Amino acid sequence: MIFTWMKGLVRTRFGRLAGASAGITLTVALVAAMGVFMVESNASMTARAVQAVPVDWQVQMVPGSDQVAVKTAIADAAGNAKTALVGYADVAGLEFKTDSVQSTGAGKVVGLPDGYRDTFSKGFRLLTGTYDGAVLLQQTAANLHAGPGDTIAVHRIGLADASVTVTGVVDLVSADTLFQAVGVPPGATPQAPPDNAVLMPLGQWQGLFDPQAQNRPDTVRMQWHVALDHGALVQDPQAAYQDVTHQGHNLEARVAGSALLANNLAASLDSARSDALYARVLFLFLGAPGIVLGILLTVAVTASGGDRRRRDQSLLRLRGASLPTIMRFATLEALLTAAIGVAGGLVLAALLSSLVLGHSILTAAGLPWLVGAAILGLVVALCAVLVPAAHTARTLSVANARQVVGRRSKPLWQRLYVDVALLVIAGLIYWKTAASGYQIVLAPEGVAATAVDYTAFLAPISLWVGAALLALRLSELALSRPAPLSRAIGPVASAVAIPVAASVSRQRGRIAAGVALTALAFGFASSTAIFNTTYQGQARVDAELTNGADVTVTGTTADPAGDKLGELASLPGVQGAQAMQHRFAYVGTDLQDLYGIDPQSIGSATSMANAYFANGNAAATLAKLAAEPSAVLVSDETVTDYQLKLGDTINLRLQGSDHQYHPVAFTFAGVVREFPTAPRDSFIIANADYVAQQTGVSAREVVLLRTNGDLSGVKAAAQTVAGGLAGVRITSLDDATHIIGSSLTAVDLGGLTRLELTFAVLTVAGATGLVLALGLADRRRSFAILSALGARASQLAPFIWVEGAMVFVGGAVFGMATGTLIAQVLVTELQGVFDPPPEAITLPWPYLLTALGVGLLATAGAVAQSLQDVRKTPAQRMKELQ
Amino acid sequence: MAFKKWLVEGKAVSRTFSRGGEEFTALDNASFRIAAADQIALTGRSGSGKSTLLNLVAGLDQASKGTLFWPSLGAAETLRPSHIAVMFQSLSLVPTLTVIENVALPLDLLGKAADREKLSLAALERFGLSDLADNLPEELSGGQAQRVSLARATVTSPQLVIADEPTGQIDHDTSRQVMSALRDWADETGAALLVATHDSEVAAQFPMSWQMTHGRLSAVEKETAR
Ligand SMILES: Nc1ncnc2c1ncn2[C@@H]1O[C@H](COP(=O)(O)OP(=O)(O)OP(=O)(O)O)[C@@H](O)[C@H]1O
Ligand SMILES: [Mg+2]
Repeated sequence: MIFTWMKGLVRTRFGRLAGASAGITLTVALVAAMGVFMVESNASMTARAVQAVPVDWQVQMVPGSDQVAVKTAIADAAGNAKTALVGYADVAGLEFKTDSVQSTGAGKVVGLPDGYRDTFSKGFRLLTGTYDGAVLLQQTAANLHAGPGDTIAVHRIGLADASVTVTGVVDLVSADTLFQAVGVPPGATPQAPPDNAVLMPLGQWQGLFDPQAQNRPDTVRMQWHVALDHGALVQDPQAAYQDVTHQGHNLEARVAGSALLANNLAASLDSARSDALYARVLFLFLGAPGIVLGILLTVAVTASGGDRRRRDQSLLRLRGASLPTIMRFATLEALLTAAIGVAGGLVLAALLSSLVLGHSILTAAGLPWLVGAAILGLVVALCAVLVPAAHTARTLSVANARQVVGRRSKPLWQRLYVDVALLVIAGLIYWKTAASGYQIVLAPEGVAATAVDYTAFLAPISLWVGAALLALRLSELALSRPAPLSRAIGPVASAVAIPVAASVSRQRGRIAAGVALTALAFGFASSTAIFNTTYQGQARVDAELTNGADVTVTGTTADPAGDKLGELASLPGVQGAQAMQHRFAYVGTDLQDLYGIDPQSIGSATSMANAYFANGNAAATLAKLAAEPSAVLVSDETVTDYQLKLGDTINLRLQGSDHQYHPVAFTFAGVVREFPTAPRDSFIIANADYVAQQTGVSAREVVLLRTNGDLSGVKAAAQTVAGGLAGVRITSLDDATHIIGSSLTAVDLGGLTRLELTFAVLTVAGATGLVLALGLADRRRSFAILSALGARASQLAPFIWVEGAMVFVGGAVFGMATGTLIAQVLVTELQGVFDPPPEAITLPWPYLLTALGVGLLATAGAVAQSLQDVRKTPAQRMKELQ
Repeated sequence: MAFKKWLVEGKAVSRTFSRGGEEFTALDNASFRIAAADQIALTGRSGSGKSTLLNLVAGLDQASKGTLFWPSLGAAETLRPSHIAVMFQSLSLVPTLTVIENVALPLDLLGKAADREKLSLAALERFGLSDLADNLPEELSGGQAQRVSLARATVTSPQLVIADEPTGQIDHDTSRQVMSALRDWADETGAALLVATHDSEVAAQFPMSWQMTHGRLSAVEKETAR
């Protein structure tokens, strides 16, 4: 009997089964694909955090302690670790004599063992020469004006000068880490790396500084540099952070009193950890509504077939089936729905993952998500099928009350104004989170505990649900009076306007529910798209800020990229080119980066965002800079440190053509916070012409290129033009996203965006199609009667397309408006993701129009499908109804 | 007899259905004529082919053999809603429209917006349904629903009303009232009636009677009942 019944179910209730399974499929697919993607992106965040660290641990020995014992302790605390012994010595200064004498202030000399860079290769970029002997930092080489082959003097502390021969110049990208003060408590003011430093082979270093260590042990330090076994790291940044921190504590306990640990890997994972939390928040914000929508679709399908279910059940009863038997059949139907839905969902997830995200869902780490998604699908199917079946079974015996149209009383939520309340809640939370200083994710550095303010979810969710309920209320209200409605559709529905309006008005519950469901789908689609576009735009701004422009050619003062400006500007694919100075200037004793620009035209090669400037107005600030040749923009810290007021004169010391630093008078004209290529700490922006005139050096070291989008093509072409310059570096936005490392904006949300958009489009199509399908049973009957009365196909059609048009237009208008608001809320609440925050949301018109178009197509398809009905002969219809 | 205005004329009309691969003849070689103002009762046992014949006469179905034409009404496609109105055995009201909206439907289909309200109310009045004008079909009894269908069938003043078991769900007294209301209306307007019924009492009131037996049609000659 069961098998026959199942066969019957598939044959006669195919629509209900397919509809419910499709809802489950969407839900399961979204949960599985997003979950696996989240696991993957967590792993890639950990990988990036690890990648960003040049040396995992720096273990600095207390003078006189046993090096070998410390090394053993390291091996015990962290298995499979690779170690290298590095010497650091303070020196009083460096000096290079030619016709004139160039000398520097205090600096450091570092001794690196043979093969050091085989293990710790990150962060070294040899600009010229070799690593065989003394290698100068780029800035040091500039200060001394020395290069390979030159012999410089090292002013050792407490000993005679030593002379060494320079063999190379290096750009030490990881100087911040390598020269950090080990053992300083976390959170202490970070120390700037020394401007002057020399690297040399450890053997040579020992020859120079072992004697200094004897005399002045406080000026010489030995460190073990440790590369941990990264294969053993877990994928989740939070867990990896805890593991590495605990390993560190273990080592600290072993070497207490004889060595200090700088746990660089833990610090890097620490910041990835908050990024991972932000990522989780993002996934929840963007994914949860989609999952809710999939569940709603399923429930809408199963709840709709009430009439038929009643008939099926009465039939079963007539044949003598008991209530438990009926429920057993319902359970079987639920299981069948779940099986089809879950299988379909996993297949869809696998397809979407490999086609859209470009990875497989079958990973060990992703398995819990697949299982979770399958369980969710099962639970949703059981609830969605069994609850209405049980309800029908209970009411069946009571009365055979057929309610097709009904004059229902207002539902509770309408009487309680739940929609308005939700919108007010959304407004209040938004208002709270929009206030300055709000942080949704709290992951204090160095503290293992993290906190996510999940109440922030309430704002977008309340807005989403509240707006959908409001759409429901308003469309019911708008449809409640047939007279104005029939006037509105009169011009297109002509003769049948009155009955169509009356019919639509009587069915306003179903149609308004359709509007609300479609509005939810459009709201999800548009908010996701707007948020993701804004996010990606901002990620680009972030990358552009780091890289400077689409493609950046960085030369040196001796070999400036500006010399090639003309050739670079005329490369195919280049839309704007600007040459910029990058020099160094002393503000008091503080050496800062100085950028000389042409304020009026720099914007043609790179974005000048308002957020870069303290007054929030890029155009006004740049105009002010252009108006006064000596004008200068400095950082907030500099303003505070030197108590500057607008119009004050500041004397900076810049290097002249004689390689000596000379004072130059500037006028304080404004505060700059960020600038393309500039470092995170203090820097200076000035007029390039004024700097050239005052220093007598007109070189422009950097060229910024704006491209038509062909980053790699322009980069390659720039390489052939400017590759010959000594020490030149040519980078594009793509490189920058890798340099930013663990920063969240660097995580490519492109895949997620495509996944969500595919899903959103499917739900829009599902929602509009579903509403029309749900009216089918009633419509069949009405159409049979109407056509027997003599209605022509053209007179039946309005009954269908008026409904479709209302659902689509109402849903699209409400949904797009809500989506825009939700995106605004998300962007405000997730400000912490953005650095700098975006100035406004970006509307992705192509996508929004596509979503509208697909929604329209889906509606048209559903309408066309229903219109098939119109063409049947009256006799065919009559027969179908019996 | 010679100058009668013929509304419907059927010559050797047959209708066959295929049922499980077998041909089944529901109407067998029937010849008949309906003139203006004829009032015909169609009787026969269940399954004898009454509804099949009515559907053909109404232009809702096509004959398998023989010819069927409407000499003074036009082609099959233009019969409804102007000239012929039909009333079904079951499922006759649009569930999403009120009683008066249902009655007004044929007027809407004809684009007669002007007297819509007046004509519909008059039709409801005729069958004693004025009080139910704003009710929904689901709020009516089976008999009330059938009377609403009759009211709707008369609203456009058609020349022929075809009714399939119009009193199937009504008690005898009401049934007699309803039938006399229908026939009074037909007398007033000169419309013809073709009414299928199981009810011999109802059939007896009609001046003309047709009998169906296993798909074969035969006319029963009798005296005018009133
Ligand atoms: N579309 C169809 N396909 C197959 N058989 C049909 C079809 N329509 C009618 N029949 C058959 O034709 C025969 C006559 O049916 P019809 O509906 O005309 O009977 P009826 O006299 O109206 O019966 P009742 O008094 O029960 O309404 C029946 O046996 C029925 O099964
Ligand atoms: Mg019949």
